Amino acid sequence: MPLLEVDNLTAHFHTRNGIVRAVDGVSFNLEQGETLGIVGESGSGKSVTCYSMLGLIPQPPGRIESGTAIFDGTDLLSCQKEALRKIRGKRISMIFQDPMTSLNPYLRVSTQLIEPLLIHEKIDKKEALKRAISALEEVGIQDAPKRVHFYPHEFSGGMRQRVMIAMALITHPEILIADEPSTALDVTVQAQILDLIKSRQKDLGTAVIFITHDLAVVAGFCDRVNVMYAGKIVESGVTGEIYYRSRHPYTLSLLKSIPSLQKKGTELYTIPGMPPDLSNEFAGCPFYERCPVSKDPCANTPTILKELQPDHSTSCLRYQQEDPAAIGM
Amino acid sequence: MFKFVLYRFLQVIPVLLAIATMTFFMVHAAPGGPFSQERNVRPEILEKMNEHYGLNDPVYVQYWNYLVKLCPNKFNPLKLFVYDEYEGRKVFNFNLKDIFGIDLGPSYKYEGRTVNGLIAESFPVSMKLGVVALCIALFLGIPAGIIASIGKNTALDYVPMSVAMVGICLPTFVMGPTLALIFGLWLGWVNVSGWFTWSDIILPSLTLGLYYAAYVARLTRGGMLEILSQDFIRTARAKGLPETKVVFKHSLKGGLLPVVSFMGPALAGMISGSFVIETIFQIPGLGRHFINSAFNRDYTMVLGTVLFYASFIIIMNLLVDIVQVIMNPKLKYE
Amino acid sequence: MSLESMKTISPQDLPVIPIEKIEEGSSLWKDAWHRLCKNHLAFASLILFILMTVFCVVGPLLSPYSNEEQDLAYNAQSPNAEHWLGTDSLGRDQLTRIMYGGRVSLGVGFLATAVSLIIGVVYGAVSGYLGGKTDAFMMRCVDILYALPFTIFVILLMVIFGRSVVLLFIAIGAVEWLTMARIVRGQVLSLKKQEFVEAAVSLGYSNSRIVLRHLIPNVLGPVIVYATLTVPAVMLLEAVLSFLGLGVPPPMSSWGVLIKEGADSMTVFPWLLIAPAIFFSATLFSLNFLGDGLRDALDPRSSKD
Repeated sequence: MPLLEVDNLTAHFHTRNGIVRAVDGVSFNLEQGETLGIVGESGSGKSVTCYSMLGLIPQPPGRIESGTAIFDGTDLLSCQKEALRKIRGKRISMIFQDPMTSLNPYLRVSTQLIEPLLIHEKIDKKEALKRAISALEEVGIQDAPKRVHFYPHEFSGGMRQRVMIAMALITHPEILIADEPSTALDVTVQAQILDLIKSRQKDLGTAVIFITHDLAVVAGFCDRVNVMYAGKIVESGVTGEIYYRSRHPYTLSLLKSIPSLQKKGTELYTIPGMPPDLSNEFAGCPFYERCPVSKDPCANTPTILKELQPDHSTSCLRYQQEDPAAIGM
Repeated sequence: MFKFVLYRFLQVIPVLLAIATMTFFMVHAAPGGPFSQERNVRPEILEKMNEHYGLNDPVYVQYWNYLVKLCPNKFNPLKLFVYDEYEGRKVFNFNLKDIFGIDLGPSYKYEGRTVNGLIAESFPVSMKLGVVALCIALFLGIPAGIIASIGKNTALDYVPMSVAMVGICLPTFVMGPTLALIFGLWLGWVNVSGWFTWSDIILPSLTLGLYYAAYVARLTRGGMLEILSQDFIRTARAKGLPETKVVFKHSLKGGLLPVVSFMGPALAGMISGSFVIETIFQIPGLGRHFINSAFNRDYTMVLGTVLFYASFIIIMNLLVDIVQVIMNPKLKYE
Repeated sequence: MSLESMKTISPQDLPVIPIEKIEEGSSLWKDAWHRLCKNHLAFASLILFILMTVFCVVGPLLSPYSNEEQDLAYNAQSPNAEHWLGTDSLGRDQLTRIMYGGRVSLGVGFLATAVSLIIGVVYGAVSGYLGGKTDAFMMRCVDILYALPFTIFVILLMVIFGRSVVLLFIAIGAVEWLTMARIVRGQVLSLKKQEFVEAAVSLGYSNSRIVLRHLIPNVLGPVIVYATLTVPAVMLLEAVLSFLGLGVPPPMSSWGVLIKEGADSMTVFPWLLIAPAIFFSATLFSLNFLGDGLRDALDPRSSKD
C-alpha cells in the first residue's frame, strides 16, 4: 500500500479575472522511502499540488474542488483542519525555494527550530534545544551550540537552507516535500544541499516529493518523475524511462532545452510560445499550441494519463490510440 | 547597542541648542517687550522691571546668561519625591532645577513663580492625560488592526476600518465638544469640563486616544498584511503551528513595526492635541499654560515650555528608535 | 501588419509624432484615471469634494444673506425655512458663514499645500539629484527638523508676529514640506539610475535642465498623491490654530473659527457646532479617500489587496 495516494486532485483559484485551474485532476502515488520528482515550468501547478495537500493554499481565492489524498487512512483534503495541522510539520514537512525569506527574520533560529517539537511532541524546551543543536550538526552546521541562537540574517543562503532542512526533519517526518530547494542557491551550494537531502533521506527513511523545473537535477535524484503541464500530469514514470524513452512532446522539449545537453556553439533551444492561460478551459491537449508534432484531433480530444507499461504513462494522444491513423494522427 | 544609544544621545545636544537659539531670538525679535502690554505702568517702574529681569542688557548677554542657566549641572533623582508639609507625606515633584539644575528662569506674568515650578505643577496633569490616551490608542487600535488583517476583505475588516477612517477625519476639536455634548450635557454621565474627580479624565483622554487609535488600527492592519503575505508565514503554517501562534508569535513583532515608528510623530501630535483638549475641557495642564503664556507674552514661560516640549519629544523619539532596534534584529548590524 | 512587412519599413515611413502628443497620450495618466473611476469610494469623494468647492465658491453669490450682516432681531435661531442652518448669536446666517468659512479653509489648504509643495519638491529633487555628501547633509537637516515640535513653532510664530494670513501660509507650508522632500528624494534616487537620465547626462544637458525636464515630471505621481493628502492635513492644522484663537485674523472666519464658536455656545445652540463640524469632516473625509484612491490608481502595485 502506498504511503500517500493522491487521486483526481483539482484546485482552482477564483480570481476577479475568472477561474484559474491551477491543478486539474492530478493523481499519483508515493511509496515509502522513495523520491518522487514533480517537474514543470513555473505556473504548471506543481507547487499548488503539494500546497493543497497540506492546506497551505490561501482560501479564498483558492479552493480544492475535488479529489482525495489518502495518507495513512486519512484524507488530507477533507479531514478536519485540526487533524491536518497535526500531520503538517510532524509527519509531512516542507522546505521552500527561497531560504532568504522562508525563515522568520524577527525570531532566533533556535526558537524556530524547536517550534515543531514543542507543538507536536510532549517535550520540554531544554530537551528540544538539545535536539535542535544535534539537528543542526546533522545538516553540517559547525559550532551549532552557539549558532543555534543566531538570527537568520546571520547565516548565508546555503546555511539557511540547511537550517530549513534541519527544521523540516527534526520531527522525523514520513514525507518531506521539497519545493525547489536548490533553485535560489549558488550552483556550488546546490549540489551540497541535494546531497544533504539525499543523505538525510537515507538516514531517516523519509519519502521525498521533489518539486523542480530542472530536469537535469531530477535525473540523479529521483526514483520516479511526474511531468506537469498546465495543471495536469502529462507524463509519469521511472526516471530512466522518462529520460531515455520519453513519449510526450513536452517532456522531449524540456529535455531538449537542458543547456548542457546541447551542442556547443548552437543557439540554445527554447520551447516556442508561452504557457497557456489557465483561466481558459482546454477542450483537448493543453500543449497543443506549442507542440511540434500536434495534429488537428489534439485540439479537442480530452487527454487522460494512460499507462503504456507498468512504469510509464503518458497523456499524449499519439500513444493512446490503438490505431492512430483512425483519428488522423 | 550602547554605542548606538550614545551616538544618538550626543546628536540630541546640537538639536536642543539650535532650538534654544531659534526660540530665544524669535521671542526677542517680537515687537514689544513682555511688559509693554500692561496698562497703567509708569515708565520708571517699567524701567525697574526691565532692569530686574535683565532685559536692558544687550541681547547676546541675555542669550549667554540664558544658556548658562540651561546647562544641567547635577543629577539628583531623589528630588523627584519631596516631603510636602501641607500633605504630610512625600509627593511627586517634577522640578527640573532640583533634579538636573536646569533653571528656566522666573515667570514674567505669574509673580513669584518660576517656570520650573509651573512646569512641575502642570506637566503631570498633561502626562496623565497623555498616558491614558496612549493606552486607549494602543489597546483599541492594535487589536482592531489585527482583527481586520486576519479577516481581510470581510466584515471584520471593513467595519473597524470604516470606523477608523471616520475617526481620522473627525478632528479632536470636533470630537471633543461632541463627546462633551452627548455624555456631559445630554446624558449627564460625566462633567462637561474641569479637572476635579477621577471621571474627568474619561472624555479628554477618549477624545485624544480615539483619534490615534484610528491611525494605529490602520497602521497595524497594513503592517500585519505585509507580514502575513511573507514566505516565512507559510513556513510557520507548514510546521503545523496553530493560527493563533502564527499571528501572535510570527507576525506581530514585524507587523507592529510601523506602529512603533509612528509613536514618535504620534507623541508630538498628542502634545499639540493636548493644547486643544486642555482648552476644550478646561484642564490645568502644560498645554493650556503654554497657550496662555503665549497669549500673555510670558517670554521665559514660552521659551521654557518650548524647550521642555522639544527635549521631551526628542527623548521619546530616541526611545522609539531604541525599541525599533530591539524589535527588528536586522537593524542592529547596520 | 504582418511580420514580414514590418521588417522592410524604413525610418522615413514612420509617422512623425510631435513631442507634445507623445506626452499627452502617455497611457499612465489615462490608465490611472480609469482605475480611479472604477474605485467607487474615491470617485464619490472626488464628486463630493468638487460639490463642496462649488458650494463654497458659488454659494455666497446665491445667498440672500451676507457674511457679516447682523440681524439681532433674528439671533440664535435654530434651523428654519429662512435660515436653513439657523443663525448665530449675532443673527448672522449660519449657512452663509459656512460658505465664507469654507472659502478660507479651502484656500488656506490649497495655498499652504502649494507652498509646501514648492519647497519640498525643489529641496527633495536637488538633494536626491546631487547625491553624495550634499544629499546626506540635506537629509540630515530634514531628520533634525522632523524631530522638532513644529506645531509649537507655528503657534509661537502666530503669537509673536501677530495673526496674518500670509504668515499662516508660510508657517504651515514650512511645517509640511519635510515629508514631501523625503518622498521626492526617494523617487529621484531611484529614477537617477534609470537610463533616460543617463542619456540626458551623456547629451551634456545642464543639471537644472535634467531636474526640471526629466526628473520632476516623473515624480509627479507620488507628489500628486501626497499633495492630496497634505491638503486635509493643512486644513486640520489651520483649524487647530483657529480653534486656539491663532488662526486667520478677524473679520475673516474659517471652519475652525466656526467650530470654535459653536463649541463655545454648544450648551445652548448645539446646531452652531454640528453644521460646520459636518462640513469640515466631510471635506477631510473626501480628500483622504481621494488621496487613497489616487495612490491606488497611480501606483497599481500598491493597490490595497
